[in-house]
Amino acid sequence: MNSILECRNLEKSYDGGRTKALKGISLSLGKGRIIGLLGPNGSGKTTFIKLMNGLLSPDGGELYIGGYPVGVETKERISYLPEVTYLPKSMKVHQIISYFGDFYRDFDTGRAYEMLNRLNINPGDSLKTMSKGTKEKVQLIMVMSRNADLYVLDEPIGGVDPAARDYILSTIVSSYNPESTILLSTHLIADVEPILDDVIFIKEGTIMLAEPVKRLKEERGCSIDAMFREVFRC
Amino acid sequence: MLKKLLKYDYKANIFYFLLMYGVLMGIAVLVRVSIAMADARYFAFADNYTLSLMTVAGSAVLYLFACGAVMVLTLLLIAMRFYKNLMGPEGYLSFTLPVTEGAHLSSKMISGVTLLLLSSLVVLASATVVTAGLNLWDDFTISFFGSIFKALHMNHLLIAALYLLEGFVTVLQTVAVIYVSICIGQLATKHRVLGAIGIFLAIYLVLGMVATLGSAIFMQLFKGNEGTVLYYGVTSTVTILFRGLVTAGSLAGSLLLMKRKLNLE
Repeated sequence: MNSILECRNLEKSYDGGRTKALKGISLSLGKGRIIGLLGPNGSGKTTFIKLMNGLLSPDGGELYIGGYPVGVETKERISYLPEVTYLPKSMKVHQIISYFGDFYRDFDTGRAYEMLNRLNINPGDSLKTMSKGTKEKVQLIMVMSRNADLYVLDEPIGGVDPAARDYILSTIVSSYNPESTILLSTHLIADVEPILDDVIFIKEGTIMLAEPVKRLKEERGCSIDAMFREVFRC
Repeated sequence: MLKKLLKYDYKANIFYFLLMYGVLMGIAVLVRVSIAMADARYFAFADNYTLSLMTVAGSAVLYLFACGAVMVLTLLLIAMRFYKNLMGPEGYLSFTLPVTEGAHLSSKMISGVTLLLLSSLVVLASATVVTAGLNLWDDFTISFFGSIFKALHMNHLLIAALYLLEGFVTVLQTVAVIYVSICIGQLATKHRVLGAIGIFLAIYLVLGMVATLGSAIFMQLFKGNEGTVLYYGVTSTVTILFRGLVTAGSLAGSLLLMKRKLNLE
């Protein structure tokens, strides 16, 4: 099996069916790829990601991760970084590391401490005393310290300054297992473009395009950022 | 995984519970000391009876208020843990752990019920501190309450066991109804907490109406036989079954909503 994720005719609506967030999307994500899930706000990116992580139930269609329907088995394989600050604020960093170590068999405690040390983050510090940027770095460290099959990162660089963005992107690239897949959702395309293998453009709950970056650039002769602006022009 | 979930559920609130229990026991000791002092003053200055009475009454009111506060805060902390850990931003972490929704609900149920029972025991323990050495359980009191129990057939072992079970099922129902109210409240896009409180009150309003209706029916069925062992046995059994059903329904509803209608902030 060469794909880590397969979905067919995946549908999701809100407000009793009035707002269609995903309109029957079908997709396959290859193993060992860094994939950009790109689309404007409200295009269905986060809904798709929540469905993958079992935070929403689909209204129709099928979704398999590593050959399993969404459930405990898939949660063991996915390392998910949500858009929000989701770690308990009252916890200290070393307690969060113990928490991840308790629940995830693939969590590498040594790697987590090494990354914290590199960033001069004190494991004894409580999350509530940290700046937004530092909190986001801690969250990213937790997520990237797992040896997961699929990393799903929802807007990992959305709320941080450009210097931190560079650090986050280099952390993503340097710390992931090449056998694993990274799905990265963002609208800051210029920043992530250099690290992407594939892109998926999503608009109004429909997949507009899902292609390798190299092929797209060769065929269209422009950057992904320029292509995005063209596809999603208001 | 359930053990691990329980470990973190207990750890999350342990500080607040210990603090609360410490304050209650502290108040209990203060009240006991004030009663002892008032007692001593009364015997020393027999004309100062009003002051002694006021001290004892004031201490008793403070103590009763503290007991009530412990029980209300216990329910609030149980509700807040459920809401914050599962329905707030922390839910993104909780629901992506390799754990079933059933394990989450079980962990919250076990921790909630044990903490509510523990708070009840601490309140009882504080009552023994307040009443220590007051000879409340002397022969007169025992014979006084004994006669009441006898009149109510409370000396019957089965009835006593049923009342204990009824108390336990009531604790289960209280926690389960809190959880299902929060699960229904989170379906709203705004004012989720207010919504959950509204649902909780509405459920208890309906339960109160059912209880009143049930009592009236039983009174009618057992007309002339109220106060018999059979009457207490049947009403208690029906109450246990009813509250058990409400608990089961609330848990099933919570599980269904967590699986199918999760709507995280």
